[in-house]
Amino acid sequence: MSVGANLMGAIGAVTEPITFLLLVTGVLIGIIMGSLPGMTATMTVAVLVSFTFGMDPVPGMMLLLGIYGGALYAGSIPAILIRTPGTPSAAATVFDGFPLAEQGKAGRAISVATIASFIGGVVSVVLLTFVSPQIATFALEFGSPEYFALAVFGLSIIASVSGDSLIKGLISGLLGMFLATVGLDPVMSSSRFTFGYEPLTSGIQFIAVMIGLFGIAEGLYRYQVGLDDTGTDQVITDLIPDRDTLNRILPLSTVSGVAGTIIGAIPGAGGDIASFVTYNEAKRWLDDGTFGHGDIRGVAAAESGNNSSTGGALIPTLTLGIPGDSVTAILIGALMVHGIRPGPALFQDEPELVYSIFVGFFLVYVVILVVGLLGARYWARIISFPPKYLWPVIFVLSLVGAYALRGNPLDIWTAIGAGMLGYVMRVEDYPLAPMVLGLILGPIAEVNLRRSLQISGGDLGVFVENPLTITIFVLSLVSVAYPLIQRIRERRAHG
Amino acid sequence: MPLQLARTDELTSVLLVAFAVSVFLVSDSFPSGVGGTPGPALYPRFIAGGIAVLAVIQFIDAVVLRESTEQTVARGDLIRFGIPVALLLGYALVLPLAGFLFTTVGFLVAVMYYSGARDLRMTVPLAFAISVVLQNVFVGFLHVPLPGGPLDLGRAVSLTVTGGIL
Repeated sequence: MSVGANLMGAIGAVTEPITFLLLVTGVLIGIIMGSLPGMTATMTVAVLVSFTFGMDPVPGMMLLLGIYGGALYAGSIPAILIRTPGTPSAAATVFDGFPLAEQGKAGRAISVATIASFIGGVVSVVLLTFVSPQIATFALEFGSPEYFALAVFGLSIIASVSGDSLIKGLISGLLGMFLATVGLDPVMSSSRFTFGYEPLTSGIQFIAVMIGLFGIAEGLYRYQVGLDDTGTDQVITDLIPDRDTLNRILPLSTVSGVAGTIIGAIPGAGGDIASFVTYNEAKRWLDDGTFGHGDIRGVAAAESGNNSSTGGALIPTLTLGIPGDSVTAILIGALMVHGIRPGPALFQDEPELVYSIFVGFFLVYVVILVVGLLGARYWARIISFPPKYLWPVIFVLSLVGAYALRGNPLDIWTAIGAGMLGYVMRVEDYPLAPMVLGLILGPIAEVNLRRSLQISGGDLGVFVENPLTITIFVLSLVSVAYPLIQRIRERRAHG
Repeated sequence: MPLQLARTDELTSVLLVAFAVSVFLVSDSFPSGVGGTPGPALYPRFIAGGIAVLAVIQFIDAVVLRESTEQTVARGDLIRFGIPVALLLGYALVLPLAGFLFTTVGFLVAVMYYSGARDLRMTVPLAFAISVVLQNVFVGFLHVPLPGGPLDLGRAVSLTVTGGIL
């Protein structure tokens, strides 16, 4: 079927009343949670993913995509109003958003953030819709060596996303890869690290680990630092931008949207990196001394980059099965609960699902635009919601979500264990994102490594027979070596 | 009195190396591969080797380059971390025995109380309402089974409260 026919079919599926209602509900939940300081999109999706286990894949995905887009957008609201980004990816929005609020222009800043989020999101969905099928078609030709190389490339990205903690990031990634080896080995089906405990033979549930790492660990951290009430007395007015404002932000938001999509498509580089890059580029090219002092273009660039990373992140997720960010890693897990494995074959096996994701994500951003502008006054009030009622509920949702995976109490223990591990890692500066990459990509790397060696009779030359695999390996090497060299240079520069 | 945890990076490195060694030891009992291809032990050993190498680099970084880290853990920090953990573990232990509804009501009231919501006239009905809604959404609407507890009493109570709406 052509792209057009697939899209028409998907429009029918997504606009079914219950499915569309779930999409809108997802956006509302995402906006509410994202408006609360410290509530990340990853945490929200991880905690609420269990609600989709009993649903069909399309409605379930609509709920999760709504939460994903809604939460990433809404992180800008506390960033603008109280200088505290609701999600890390809204950090760059603070630079110009908060000064605007200080000047009494919070409403203007929120409306610009909403429109830029819409534009960025829509640009990314358009690129996703037309680029993904091409990549998937190309990737259909991949064999085990190419997949192994791709998994290695995905894992090599850990070096780039680990920030200052390069070694710790790599250790975190390897720990994630190790956790994924627990259970039956994928080639010979012999038990590994189960210690005779039968429930472990089916492996450690990835979603339960994610719930623990991003839901419970965050909760434990919040309790440790103290649950502080936040609030704002800002009056939200001036929500409909004038023509001059639109003229200033529309081209910039579109360009930032394209850049954010490209950055988001790099595995492991999420909205936080995209928004900083697009903000910095806007500042580099357009700054006339106003950036950082309440320039609406700063808000637009950051928010467009932030939200466009979502569509970008879905490109490797859907076409190669490699998560673009932590949220898409959970989306992979949610699909796997339904027996669906993202990758190039997904476009052939589940075209309705794939194109429903495209159409649904577009509608998510339409809903964000409408709801974001109409409800801005109310979202601003959510910031004041007392955390003493919120975090207990998040704990319950985390635990029930883990249990609901397969009705096994082991998954609750897994989530609590992962929560404690995530807390310790956070305190000790071990980044969590690499562990997620390791959890998802580790098994892909192992299966394809061993299959390749089975086919070649143990000859490692199978990995250098094809120019594509060689290219991917070289890229992987560069991806690891570049941050290392940078770090050594920095050390030398600082004596 | 605050507890000083000096050289946490060194300590973590040693623990990671010990972990890597244990992976090698445990994987020794795994079957070997067929026809010269790698067996189930190769991949975890490769990972463990990587962890060990990185842990050693981290150790050297910390000792030789004096990038040592230190954590100060006050008694209050331990309590603020320990109480939620204890409540979570308690929830996991009690859930299969008492069922979802009663365990969740108790857990929510306890955590809310600990979080500063001390008015039980507010928290008990709130906890009960949240638990009933969740039970009905998961079991009734999403068809996700939750532990019913003794005689499936929790489900009976929540169905009675909602009149089986969900």
